[in-house]
Amino acid sequence: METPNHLYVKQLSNGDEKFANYLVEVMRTELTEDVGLYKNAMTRKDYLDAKSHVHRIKHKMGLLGLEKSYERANNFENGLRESDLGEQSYFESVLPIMIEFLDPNRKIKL
Amino acid sequence: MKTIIVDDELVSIEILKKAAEQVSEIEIIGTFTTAMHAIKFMNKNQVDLMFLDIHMPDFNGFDLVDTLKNPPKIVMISSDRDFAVEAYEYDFIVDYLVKPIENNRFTKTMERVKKSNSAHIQQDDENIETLSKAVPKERDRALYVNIDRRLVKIDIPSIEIVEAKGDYIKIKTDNKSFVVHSPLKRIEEKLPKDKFLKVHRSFVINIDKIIDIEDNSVLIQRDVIPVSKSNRNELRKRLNLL
Repeated sequence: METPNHLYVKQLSNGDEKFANYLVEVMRTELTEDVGLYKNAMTRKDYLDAKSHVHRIKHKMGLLGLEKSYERANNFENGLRESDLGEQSYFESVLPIMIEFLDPNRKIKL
Repeated sequence: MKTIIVDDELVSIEILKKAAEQVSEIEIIGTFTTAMHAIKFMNKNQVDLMFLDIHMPDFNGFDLVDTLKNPPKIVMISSDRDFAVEAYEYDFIVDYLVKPIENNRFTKTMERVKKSNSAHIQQDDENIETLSKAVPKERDRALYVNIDRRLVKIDIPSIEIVEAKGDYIKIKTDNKSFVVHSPLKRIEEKLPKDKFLKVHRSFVINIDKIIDIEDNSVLIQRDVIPVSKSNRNELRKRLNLL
Protein backbone atom coordinates (compact mmCIF):
# COMPACT_ATOMS: atom_id res chain seq x y z
CA MET A 1 0.00 0.00 0.00
CA GLU A 2 1.23 3.49 -0.89
CA THR A 3 2.07 6.09 1.71
CA PRO A 4 0.63 9.59 1.37
CA ASN A 5 2.89 12.61 1.43
CA HIS A 6 2.76 16.39 1.49
CA LEU A 7 5.21 16.99 -1.36
CA TYR A 8 2.62 18.61 -3.60
CA VAL A 9 1.21 20.78 -0.83
CA LYS A 10 4.72 21.93 0.14
CA GLN A 11 5.67 22.67 -3.46
CA LEU A 12 2.46 24.61 -4.07
CA SER A 13 2.75 26.57 -0.83
CA ASN A 14 6.12 27.94 -1.88
CA GLY A 15 7.31 28.40 1.72
CA ASP A 16 3.99 29.68 3.04
CA GLU A 17 3.52 27.38 6.05
CA LYS A 18 0.23 28.96 7.08
CA PHE A 19 -1.23 28.31 3.64
CA ALA A 20 0.07 24.71 3.60
CA ASN A 21 -1.70 23.93 6.88
CA TYR A 22 -4.85 25.74 5.78
CA LEU A 23 -4.95 23.70 2.56
CA VAL A 24 -4.63 20.47 4.54
CA GLU A 25 -7.45 21.60 6.81
CA VAL A 26 -9.71 22.29 3.80
CA MET A 27 -8.75 18.93 2.32
CA ARG A 28 -9.57 17.13 5.58
CA THR A 29 -12.99 18.79 5.90
CA GLU A 30 -13.90 18.03 2.28
CA LEU A 31 -12.56 14.48 2.38
CA THR A 32 -14.62 13.66 5.47
CA GLU A 33 -17.72 14.95 3.68
CA ASP A 34 -16.86 13.16 0.42
CA VAL A 35 -16.33 9.83 2.19
CA GLY A 36 -19.64 10.16 4.07
CA LEU A 37 -21.53 10.96 0.86
CA TYR A 38 -19.75 8.15 -1.00
CA LYS A 39 -20.69 5.57 1.65
CA ASN A 40 -24.26 6.80 1.68
CA ALA A 41 -24.50 6.49 -2.11
CA MET A 42 -23.03 2.97 -2.03
CA THR A 43 -25.53 1.93 0.64
CA ARG A 44 -28.31 3.16 -1.65
CA LYS A 45 -26.60 1.42 -4.58
CA ASP A 46 -26.74 4.74 -6.38
CA TYR A 47 -23.54 4.12 -8.30
CA LEU A 48 -23.76 7.24 -10.46
CA ASP A 49 -23.92 9.38 -7.35
CA ALA A 50 -21.07 7.35 -5.81
CA LYS A 51 -19.07 7.95 -8.99
CA SER A 52 -19.17 11.72 -8.50
CA HIS A 53 -17.82 11.36 -4.94
CA VAL A 54 -15.10 8.95 -6.10
CA HIS A 55 -14.10 11.62 -8.60
CA ARG A 56 -13.61 14.19 -5.84
CA ILE A 57 -11.76 11.73 -3.58
CA LYS A 58 -9.56 10.71 -6.52
CA HIS A 59 -8.40 14.31 -6.87
CA LYS A 60 -7.40 14.37 -3.22
CA MET A 61 -5.42 11.16 -3.72
CA GLY A 62 -3.49 13.06 -6.37
CA LEU A 63 -2.89 15.94 -3.97
CA LEU A 64 -1.49 13.50 -1.43
CA GLY A 65 0.89 11.88 -3.92
CA LEU A 66 -1.04 8.58 -4.02
CA GLU A 67 -0.38 7.99 -7.71
CA LYS A 68 -1.19 4.29 -7.90
CA SER A 69 -4.34 4.75 -5.82
CA TYR A 70 -5.30 7.64 -8.10
CA GLU A 71 -5.13 5.35 -11.13
CA ARG A 72 -7.14 2.62 -9.43
CA ALA A 73 -9.70 5.16 -8.24
CA ASN A 74 -9.95 6.30 -11.83
CA ASN A 75 -10.70 2.72 -12.89
CA PHE A 76 -13.24 2.43 -10.09
CA GLU A 77 -14.89 5.69 -11.17
CA ASN A 78 -15.18 4.46 -14.77
CA GLY A 79 -16.37 1.04 -13.60
CA LEU A 80 -19.17 2.53 -11.52
CA ARG A 81 -20.74 3.79 -14.71
CA GLU A 82 -21.43 0.13 -15.50
CA SER A 83 -22.05 -0.85 -11.84
CA ASP A 84 -18.67 -2.60 -11.83
CA LEU A 85 -17.48 -2.81 -8.19
CA GLY A 86 -14.20 -4.60 -8.90
CA GLU A 87 -12.05 -1.83 -7.40
CA GLN A 88 -14.32 -1.07 -4.44
CA SER A 89 -12.38 -2.88 -1.73
CA TYR A 90 -9.02 -1.37 -2.76
CA PHE A 91 -10.53 2.10 -2.98
CA GLU A 92 -12.13 1.81 0.44
CA SER A 93 -8.91 0.50 1.98
CA VAL A 94 -7.13 3.75 1.02
CA LEU A 95 -9.71 6.04 2.64
CA PRO A 96 -8.74 5.50 6.31
CA ILE A 97 -5.07 5.96 5.40
CA MET A 98 -5.87 9.34 3.87
CA ILE A 99 -8.02 10.42 6.81
CA GLU A 100 -5.37 9.40 9.32
CA PHE A 101 -2.68 11.22 7.36
CA LEU A 102 -4.74 14.42 7.40
CA ASP A 103 -4.93 14.30 11.20
CA PRO A 104 -5.32 17.87 12.56
CA ASN A 105 -2.45 17.29 15.00
CA ARG A 106 -0.02 16.57 12.18
CA LYS A 107 1.14 20.08 11.24
CA ILE A 108 3.29 20.74 8.19
CA LYS A 109 6.63 22.38 8.90
CA LEU A 110 8.36 24.15 6.01
CA MET B 1 -8.14 40.70 -15.75
CA LYS B 2 -11.25 40.30 -13.67
CA THR B 3 -11.26 36.58 -12.93
CA ILE B 4 -13.61 34.04 -11.38
CA ILE B 5 -13.08 30.43 -10.32
CA VAL B 6 -15.87 27.87 -10.61
CA ASP B 7 -15.20 24.50 -8.99
CA ASP B 8 -17.27 22.35 -6.66
CA GLU B 9 -14.17 21.49 -4.58
CA LEU B 10 -13.03 24.17 -2.16
CA VAL B 11 -9.53 22.71 -2.09
CA SER B 12 -9.22 23.32 -5.85
CA ILE B 13 -10.45 26.88 -5.44
CA GLU B 14 -7.82 27.54 -2.76
CA ILE B 15 -5.06 26.04 -4.93
CA LEU B 16 -6.05 28.21 -7.90
CA LYS B 17 -6.33 31.32 -5.75
CA LYS B 18 -2.82 30.69 -4.44
CA ALA B 19 -1.42 30.16 -7.94
CA ALA B 20 -3.20 33.27 -9.21
CA GLU B 21 -1.63 35.37 -6.43
CA GLN B 22 1.67 35.12 -8.31
CA VAL B 23 0.20 36.75 -11.42
CA SER B 24 -0.18 40.52 -11.15
CA GLU B 25 -2.65 40.76 -14.06
CA ILE B 26 -5.21 38.56 -12.30
CA GLU B 27 -7.79 40.00 -9.95
CA ILE B 28 -9.99 37.31 -8.41
CA ILE B 29 -13.45 38.88 -8.11
CA GLY B 30 -15.42 35.75 -7.23
CA THR B 31 -15.26 32.05 -6.48
CA PHE B 32 -18.23 29.70 -6.87
CA THR B 33 -18.91 26.05 -6.06
CA THR B 34 -21.88 25.78 -8.44
CA ALA B 35 -22.35 26.79 -12.06
CA MET B 36 -25.68 28.45 -11.30
CA HIS B 37 -24.12 30.87 -8.82
CA ALA B 38 -21.43 31.73 -11.37
CA ILE B 39 -24.03 32.43 -14.08
CA LYS B 40 -25.96 34.75 -11.76
CA PHE B 41 -22.75 36.62 -10.99
CA MET B 42 -21.75 36.90 -14.65
CA ASN B 43 -25.16 38.30 -15.55
CA LYS B 44 -24.38 41.31 -13.38
CA ASN B 45 -20.59 41.65 -13.54
CA GLN B 46 -17.93 41.87 -16.21
CA VAL B 47 -15.64 38.84 -16.18
CA ASP B 48 -12.52 38.62 -18.39
CA LEU B 49 -11.27 35.19 -17.40
CA MET B 50 -12.87 32.12 -15.84
CA PHE B 51 -11.25 28.99 -14.42
CA LEU B 52 -13.94 26.38 -14.85
CA ASP B 53 -14.11 22.83 -13.54
CA ILE B 54 -15.78 20.34 -15.88
CA HIS B 55 -17.02 17.84 -13.30
CA MET B 56 -19.66 19.51 -11.20
CA PRO B 57 -22.93 18.01 -10.01
CA ASP B 58 -26.17 18.84 -11.86
CA PHE B 59 -24.80 21.50 -14.19
CA ASN B 60 -21.29 20.76 -15.43
CA GLY B 61 -18.65 23.02 -16.98
CA PHE B 62 -19.73 22.44 -20.59
CA ASP B 63 -23.37 23.10 -19.67
CA LEU B 64 -22.27 26.42 -18.23
CA VAL B 65 -20.21 27.26 -21.33
CA ASP B 66 -23.22 26.56 -23.56
CA THR B 67 -25.38 29.05 -21.67
CA LEU B 68 -23.01 32.00 -22.08
CA LYS B 69 -23.88 34.57 -24.73
CA ASN B 70 -20.63 36.53 -24.40
CA PRO B 71 -18.20 34.10 -22.82
CA PRO B 72 -14.98 35.37 -21.26
CA LYS B 73 -11.66 33.62 -21.84
CA ILE B 74 -11.99 30.24 -20.17
CA VAL B 75 -9.44 27.82 -18.74
CA MET B 76 -11.06 24.43 -18.25
CA ILE B 77 -9.96 22.27 -15.34
CA SER B 78 -10.46 18.57 -14.75
CA SER B 79 -8.93 15.54 -13.12
CA ASP B 80 -9.37 13.74 -16.45
CA ARG B 81 -7.66 14.30 -19.76
CA ASP B 82 -10.63 12.87 -21.65
CA PHE B 83 -12.35 16.18 -22.34
CA ALA B 84 -9.34 18.10 -23.66
CA VAL B 85 -10.27 17.65 -27.33
CA GLU B 86 -13.82 18.82 -26.74
CA ALA B 87 -12.63 21.83 -24.80
CA TYR B 88 -10.45 23.06 -27.65
CA GLU B 89 -13.40 23.09 -30.03
CA TYR B 90 -14.53 26.30 -28.34
CA ASP B 91 -12.65 29.38 -29.54
CA PHE B 92 -12.77 31.08 -26.17
CA ILE B 93 -11.32 28.12 -24.21
CA VAL B 94 -7.65 28.98 -24.12
CA ASP B 95 -6.27 26.12 -22.08
CA TYR B 96 -7.08 22.86 -20.33
CA LEU B 97 -5.50 22.20 -16.94
CA VAL B 98 -5.34 18.73 -15.43
CA LYS B 99 -5.55 18.47 -11.64
CA PRO B 100 -3.53 18.50 -9.45
CA ILE B 101 -2.37 21.79 -10.90
CA GLU B 102 1.38 22.32 -10.93
CA ASN B 103 2.88 25.81 -10.52
CA ASN B 104 4.94 25.53 -13.73
CA ARG B 105 1.94 24.42 -15.74
CA PHE B 106 -0.12 27.26 -14.35
CA THR B 107 2.55 29.74 -15.51
CA LYS B 108 2.26 28.32 -19.06
CA THR B 109 -1.50 28.69 -18.87
CA MET B 110 -1.17 32.34 -18.00
CA GLU B 111 1.20 32.87 -20.94
CA ARG B 112 -1.47 31.37 -23.20
CA VAL B 113 -4.15 33.59 -21.69
CA LYS B 114 -2.03 36.71 -22.26
CA LYS B 115 -1.19 35.59 -25.79
CA SER B 116 -4.84 34.94 -26.60
CA ASN B 117 -5.73 38.41 -25.33
CA SER B 118 -3.21 40.09 -27.60
CA ALA B 119 -4.26 37.91 -30.56
CA HIS B 120 -7.85 38.85 -29.91
CA ILE B 121 -7.04 42.57 -29.93
CA GLN B 122 -5.09 42.22 -33.16
CA GLN B 123 -7.98 40.36 -34.77
CA ASP B 124 -10.40 43.11 -33.80
CA ASP B 125 -8.09 45.72 -35.32
CA GLU B 126 -7.83 43.94 -38.62
CA ASN B 127 -11.52 43.16 -38.68
CA ILE B 128 -10.98 39.64 -39.96
CA GLU B 129 -13.42 37.86 -37.76
CA THR B 130 -15.80 37.27 -40.70
CA LEU B 131 -13.17 34.94 -42.17
CA SER B 132 -13.66 32.44 -39.38
CA LYS B 133 -17.40 32.53 -39.94
CA ALA B 134 -16.94 31.53 -43.58
CA VAL B 135 -15.06 28.37 -42.69
CA PRO B 136 -17.24 25.60 -41.20
CA LYS B 137 -15.91 24.66 -37.81
CA GLU B 138 -15.68 21.14 -36.45
CA ARG B 139 -17.97 22.09 -33.58
CA ASP B 140 -20.75 22.92 -36.07
CA ARG B 141 -20.67 19.29 -37.20
CA ALA B 142 -21.06 17.83 -33.75
CA LEU B 143 -23.38 18.07 -30.82
CA TYR B 144 -22.53 17.06 -27.26
CA VAL B 145 -25.30 15.65 -25.14
CA ASN B 146 -25.28 14.95 -21.43
CA ILE B 147 -26.01 11.28 -20.77
CA ASP B 148 -25.42 9.89 -17.27
CA ARG B 149 -23.14 12.86 -16.54
CA ARG B 150 -20.98 12.12 -19.58
CA LEU B 151 -20.82 14.38 -22.59
CA VAL B 152 -21.38 12.17 -25.60
CA LYS B 153 -20.50 13.42 -29.07
CA ILE B 154 -23.09 13.02 -31.83
CA ASP B 155 -22.17 13.72 -35.43
CA ILE B 156 -24.91 16.10 -36.62
CA PRO B 157 -25.13 14.82 -40.23
CA SER B 158 -25.77 11.32 -38.83
CA ILE B 159 -28.93 12.43 -37.02
CA GLU B 160 -32.08 11.15 -38.73
CA ILE B 161 -34.92 12.01 -36.37
CA VAL B 162 -35.36 13.80 -33.06
CA GLU B 163 -38.55 12.89 -31.24
CA ALA B 164 -39.99 14.63 -28.17
CA LYS B 165 -40.97 12.22 -25.40
CA GLY B 166 -42.24 14.18 -22.41
CA ASP B 167 -39.30 15.90 -20.71
CA TYR B 168 -36.91 13.90 -22.89
CA ILE B 169 -35.93 13.70 -26.53
CA LYS B 170 -34.93 10.63 -28.47
CA ILE B 171 -32.16 11.32 -30.97
CA LYS B 172 -31.98 8.65 -33.65
CA THR B 173 -28.82 8.53 -35.74
CA ASP B 174 -27.67 6.19 -38.55
CA ASN B 175 -26.50 3.59 -36.07
CA LYS B 176 -27.65 4.46 -32.56
CA SER B 177 -30.35 6.13 -30.48
CA PHE B 178 -29.83 8.46 -27.51
CA VAL B 179 -32.36 9.54 -24.89
CA VAL B 180 -31.53 12.97 -23.48
CA HIS B 181 -33.23 15.17 -20.90
CA SER B 182 -34.04 18.25 -23.00
CA PRO B 183 -36.97 20.03 -24.62
CA LEU B 184 -37.28 19.58 -28.40
CA LYS B 185 -36.95 23.34 -28.92
CA ARG B 186 -33.45 23.38 -27.44
CA ILE B 187 -31.99 20.87 -29.88
CA GLU B 188 -33.97 22.39 -32.75
CA GLU B 189 -32.09 25.65 -32.14
CA LYS B 190 -28.74 23.84 -32.21
CA LEU B 191 -29.29 22.01 -35.50
CA PRO B 192 -28.53 23.65 -38.87
CA LYS B 193 -31.76 25.13 -40.21
CA ASP B 194 -30.99 24.29 -43.84
CA LYS B 195 -30.84 20.56 -43.02
CA PHE B 196 -33.35 20.04 -40.26
CA LEU B 197 -37.04 20.84 -40.12
CA LYS B 198 -39.70 20.49 -37.48
CA VAL B 199 -42.46 18.65 -39.33
CA HIS B 200 -44.66 17.94 -36.32
CA ARG B 201 -44.82 19.26 -32.77
CA SER B 202 -42.99 16.11 -31.63
CA PHE B 203 -40.60 15.57 -34.53
CA VAL B 204 -37.59 17.27 -36.07
CA ILE B 205 -36.18 15.47 -39.11
CA ASN B 206 -33.05 15.58 -41.23
CA ILE B 207 -34.34 16.43 -44.71
CA ASP B 208 -31.43 14.62 -46.38
CA LYS B 209 -32.56 11.35 -44.80
CA ILE B 210 -36.07 11.31 -46.28
CA ILE B 211 -36.73 8.28 -48.44
CA ASP B 212 -40.23 9.15 -49.58
CA ILE B 213 -43.13 11.40 -48.78
CA GLU B 214 -46.83 10.91 -48.66
CA ASP B 215 -49.36 13.63 -48.12
CA ASN B 216 -49.14 13.66 -44.34
CA SER B 217 -46.06 11.63 -43.54
CA VAL B 218 -42.42 11.05 -44.47
CA LEU B 219 -40.44 7.84 -44.44
CA ILE B 220 -36.97 7.87 -42.87
CA GLN B 221 -35.39 4.43 -42.85
CA ARG B 222 -38.27 2.37 -41.44
CA ASP B 223 -39.88 5.16 -39.47
CA VAL B 224 -43.02 6.86 -40.68
CA ILE B 225 -43.04 10.40 -39.31
CA PRO B 226 -46.25 12.45 -39.28
CA VAL B 227 -46.20 15.83 -40.99
CA SER B 228 -48.55 18.49 -39.62
CA LYS B 229 -50.72 20.33 -42.09
CA SER B 230 -49.09 23.62 -41.15
CA ASN B 231 -45.61 22.26 -41.98
CA ARG B 232 -46.32 20.62 -45.33
CA ASN B 233 -45.68 23.69 -47.47
CA GLU B 234 -42.38 24.41 -45.74
CA LEU B 235 -41.30 20.82 -46.27
CA ARG B 236 -42.14 20.98 -49.97
CA LYS B 237 -40.20 24.23 -50.33
CA ARG B 238 -37.12 22.57 -48.92
CA LEU B 239 -37.17 19.65 -51.35
CA ASN B 240 -35.53 19.59 -54.73
CA LEU B 241 -38.74 18.88 -56.68
CA LEU B 242 -38.65 18.02 -60.34
